[in-house]
Amino acid sequence: MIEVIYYEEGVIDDPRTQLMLRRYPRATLIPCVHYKDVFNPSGQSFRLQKEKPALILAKQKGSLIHSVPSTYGIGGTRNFYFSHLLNCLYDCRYCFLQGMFPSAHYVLFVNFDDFKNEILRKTEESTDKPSWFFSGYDCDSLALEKITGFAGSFLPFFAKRPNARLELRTKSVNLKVLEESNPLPNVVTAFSFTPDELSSQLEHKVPSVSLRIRAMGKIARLGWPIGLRIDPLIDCRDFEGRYRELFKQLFSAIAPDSIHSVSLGTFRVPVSYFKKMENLYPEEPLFAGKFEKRGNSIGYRKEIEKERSDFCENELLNHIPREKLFQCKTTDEDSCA
Amino acid sequence: MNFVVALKAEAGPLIQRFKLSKQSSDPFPLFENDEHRLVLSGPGKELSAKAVKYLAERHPQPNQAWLNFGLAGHGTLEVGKAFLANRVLDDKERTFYPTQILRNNLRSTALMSHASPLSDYPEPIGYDMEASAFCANASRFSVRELIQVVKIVSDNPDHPVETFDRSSASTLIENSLSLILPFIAQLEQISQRVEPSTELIKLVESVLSLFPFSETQRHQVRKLLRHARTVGLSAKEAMDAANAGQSAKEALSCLQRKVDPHRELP
Ligand code: SF4
Repeated sequence: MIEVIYYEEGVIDDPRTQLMLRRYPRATLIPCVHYKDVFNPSGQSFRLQKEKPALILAKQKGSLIHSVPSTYGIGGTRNFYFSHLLNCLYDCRYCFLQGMFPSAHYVLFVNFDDFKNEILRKTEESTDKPSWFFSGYDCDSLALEKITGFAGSFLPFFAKRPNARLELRTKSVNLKVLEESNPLPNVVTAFSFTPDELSSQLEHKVPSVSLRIRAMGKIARLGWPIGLRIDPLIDCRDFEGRYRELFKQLFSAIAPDSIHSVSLGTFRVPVSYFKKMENLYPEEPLFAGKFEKRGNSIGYRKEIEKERSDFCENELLNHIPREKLFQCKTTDEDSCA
Repeated sequence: MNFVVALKAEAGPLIQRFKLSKQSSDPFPLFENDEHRLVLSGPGKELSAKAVKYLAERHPQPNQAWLNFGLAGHGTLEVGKAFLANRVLDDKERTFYPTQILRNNLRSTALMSHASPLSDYPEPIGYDMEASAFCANASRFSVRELIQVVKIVSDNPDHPVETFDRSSASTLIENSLSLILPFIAQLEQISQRVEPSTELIKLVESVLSLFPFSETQRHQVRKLLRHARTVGLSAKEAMDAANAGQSAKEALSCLQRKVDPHRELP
């Protein structure tokens, strides 16, 4: 429930802004010149704000589509991401957004058409190779769909452009927007999972693993291509037993044909983010894990990371062919959560 | 919880309600009980800024709640209405946006801080003489969510400031306390969530007093003790582990050995 809406004075007449204001007629409306005046100041408590984030309506200016680090990707060679939304409904303790952003408020960039124009431009740069667009980099793509209307607006756009591929990355079970559309072969809905025991400890406000598997199964049966994101891998007691069980649950819920791709990602965040995350939740056991600093980032000790990653890779290959498995490798400069 | 209030007449009801007793008069009158401190800043931005600094230096714990409280003019709200500032404007300072995360029944409105009292009310917002300086300075000592401004309307276009009867200040405030006190209680409650743990601070101090630790080692002690706590070791277990060493270096390895087997997430 949104109780406070900040809006850039320049977007007040935008139809999406007006829609939002009509949807929340009781919200306190607070104008600002630039969303960064509210979002960027230092000294905000991400943790306290997370209890009741406000919505900020703004226009994203400058470059709207960015290249994805070369170590990412799910088979394509032209990979981009864009952020129509900053921040997330959920509150995963490992989420790098809490280390990256000064504020937990949701920033919705209302100029969807500008994003679409740039997607179109990027897609047209190459007619032979498809261009992939990742939408869940700075948010969960679908968790706030009721507020943002993002998928509802972008699915028809991608439906007409088969050479443009979209990844919706989510932990949501509210998939009505997909259930009500015809499945699109160029839109992959990717679900991120950790085993149940970890999810209940770390993924606050996220629907349970079983509910998500059920929701995923439903849209898979409707014909939507599914991505599985085992990301980030979290070291824990009985790691092998728990991850093996998770894979069993996942692959028994969806037919092999529905699986577009599976990716594995280790837990690695820039040092400054990690410090901030730890300061926000000094009592969180996750941050007492067996980590080490490598370059500018922090991740599990190398031998643990390799062992856990190799185990999952081998297990996954019992369920899927190698060409569907991708490693989300992180460098010192980037992260993947 | 820190209150910064310009005038005694505005502060009286809070002083009474929290049974605050006067602790000093110089450089600012200061009233306290165990959990609350109220400083009388006097009118104007400069004094408000100095009063914040004075209080923060006297009580340097991080992330305390700060409230600027008092009377203000307003372009549209009626006299006696209490409001919460959602934007604090100033002709020179950057606009401050006090984070609105507390449920309350106060009106929410913008507030402009001027250098001198205004005789007109050009916008449908509040007008005072302290809030912008209060916010800019309090944000050096606490997170923004804990810095709030609550004012009660003393004058408006129908009842201009020249006609305000100063003897009615206490009554105006007294009448609004039923709305303001729950807000204060919530503010205090959320501040506890981001206050550092006193138990951990004490444990760190005890362990650091065992040996002459270098600066880097002190940092490692703090980190290990924080981890010891998060993985479920008691303060006694951590203290005993550190005590088992014969030097700073050994104490650190003993602590490390104690914590390491518990680092896997359950
Ligand atoms: S990890 Fe994903 S689902 Fe969790 S809070 Fe971050 S963006 Fe949201």
